Amino acid sequence: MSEHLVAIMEEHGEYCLRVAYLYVKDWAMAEEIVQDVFFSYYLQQDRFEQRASLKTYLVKITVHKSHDYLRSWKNKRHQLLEKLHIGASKRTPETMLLAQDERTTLTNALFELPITYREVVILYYYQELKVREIADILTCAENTVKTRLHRARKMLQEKLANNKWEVLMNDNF
Amino acid sequence: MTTFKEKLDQELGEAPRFTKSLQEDILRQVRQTKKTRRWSYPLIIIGAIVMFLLIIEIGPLGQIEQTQHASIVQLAQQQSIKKYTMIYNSDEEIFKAGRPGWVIGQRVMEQSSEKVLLQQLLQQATVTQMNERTFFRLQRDVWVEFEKGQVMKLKMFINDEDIGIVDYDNNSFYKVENKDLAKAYLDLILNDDAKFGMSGLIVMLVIFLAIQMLGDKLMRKMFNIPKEYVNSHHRRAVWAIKILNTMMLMVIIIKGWILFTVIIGGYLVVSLFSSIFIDYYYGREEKRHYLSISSAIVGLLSLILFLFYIS
Repeated sequence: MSEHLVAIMEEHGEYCLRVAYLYVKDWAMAEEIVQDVFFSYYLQQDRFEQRASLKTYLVKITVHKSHDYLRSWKNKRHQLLEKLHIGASKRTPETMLLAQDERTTLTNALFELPITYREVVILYYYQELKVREIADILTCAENTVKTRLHRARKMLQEKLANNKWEVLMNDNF
Repeated sequence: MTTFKEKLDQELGEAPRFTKSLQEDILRQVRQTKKTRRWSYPLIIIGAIVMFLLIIEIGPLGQIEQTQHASIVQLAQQQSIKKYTMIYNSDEEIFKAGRPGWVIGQRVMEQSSEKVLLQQLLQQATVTQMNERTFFRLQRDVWVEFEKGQVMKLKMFINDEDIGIVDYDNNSFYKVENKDLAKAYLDLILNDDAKFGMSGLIVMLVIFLAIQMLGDKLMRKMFNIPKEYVNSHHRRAVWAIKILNTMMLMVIIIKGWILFTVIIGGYLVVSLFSSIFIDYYYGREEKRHYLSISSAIVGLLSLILFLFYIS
């Protein structure tokens, strides 16, 4: 069994970790989530019927675990402490310049999106899943996914005005 | 790979983050955990079925009235009738009437004129040989409660001119040969027969099925619940429960327990809870148990409506 699990972790571990990070913005937490994902898969692998690919199945578990974390008190406490820490730090010209530079990066623009819009961008553009698969993972209608993608693209366009990523170009889902 | 993905990967760092040590941590966690079968849900279902059977056994249906009385005539002469219930039953082995509310379709007699009529009948009854009973027009099970709480179970065979009564507990046979009383009692029984209509039942059943289907469709659309089973285990569990429920229903119908409210309520509770448990166990992420819960609510409301309709 552990050999099978090792093979699965080798193949799917990296992107599950990155997806979890894009949800929770914290590598340590993302690692915890991914541990939980593979442990859950090990315990309930008989529930996987190969109707979807294993990748989609594992992404689905990762998304659910990330949602669980985002809803948890642990995350709320962490966010509160983070805000208090930022508020307390002094604003020097150097830190302001750094912050301006950070704002231009794609990751930060993505992190500024609300989770409902961020996740569709992650799953569609980063994980390259189909709208149908995203609807299945998020247990919502396909049209809801399309609407969220459209709005997310608009929000990203405002934040990344000088760039021309394909995420900002076409609207054909 | 899209440039978006490429750029995002660059920003997140090209070096793999999913390290060997992380893998080792997961494997250690896996090795420490013994994979055990989860018995809680099957145990709850079995427990519910056992409880259901126990209720039947120790409840009012399984209890035998131990009241010893000399004869129904003496009792009727000494005490007045508090209330009685009546139901049609052609089976001589089973007694169907019971306390008000326990049996579906029985008529509860609480008016003084109805009670006086039965009191007079019982007072005028005479003990006779069993083989004298030859032909009768109507047959009724009558459950009688007297003022001091004594209970009698009577099987009545009604003709135009006389009435035969069997004390179900003692198996003794009585006869009332009073033309006027027999006629009055026959009228009383016939007066009731038209109320419990089959057409009304069929209409209610159709409405119930329509509401169930509509509710199911609405819930599936609202919560995006797919029609397919979650996996083969889910399919097997659902079918096993369906077969078990059908077998239970067959037994209930064959044994003639379908009229007893407690049996129907118990059957509904067992079947609905088992369905909710299975849907929750296999498909709680997809909120499949909402379907069972909604159908349980519809089922219970329909049962209450049905009881109102027949009472």
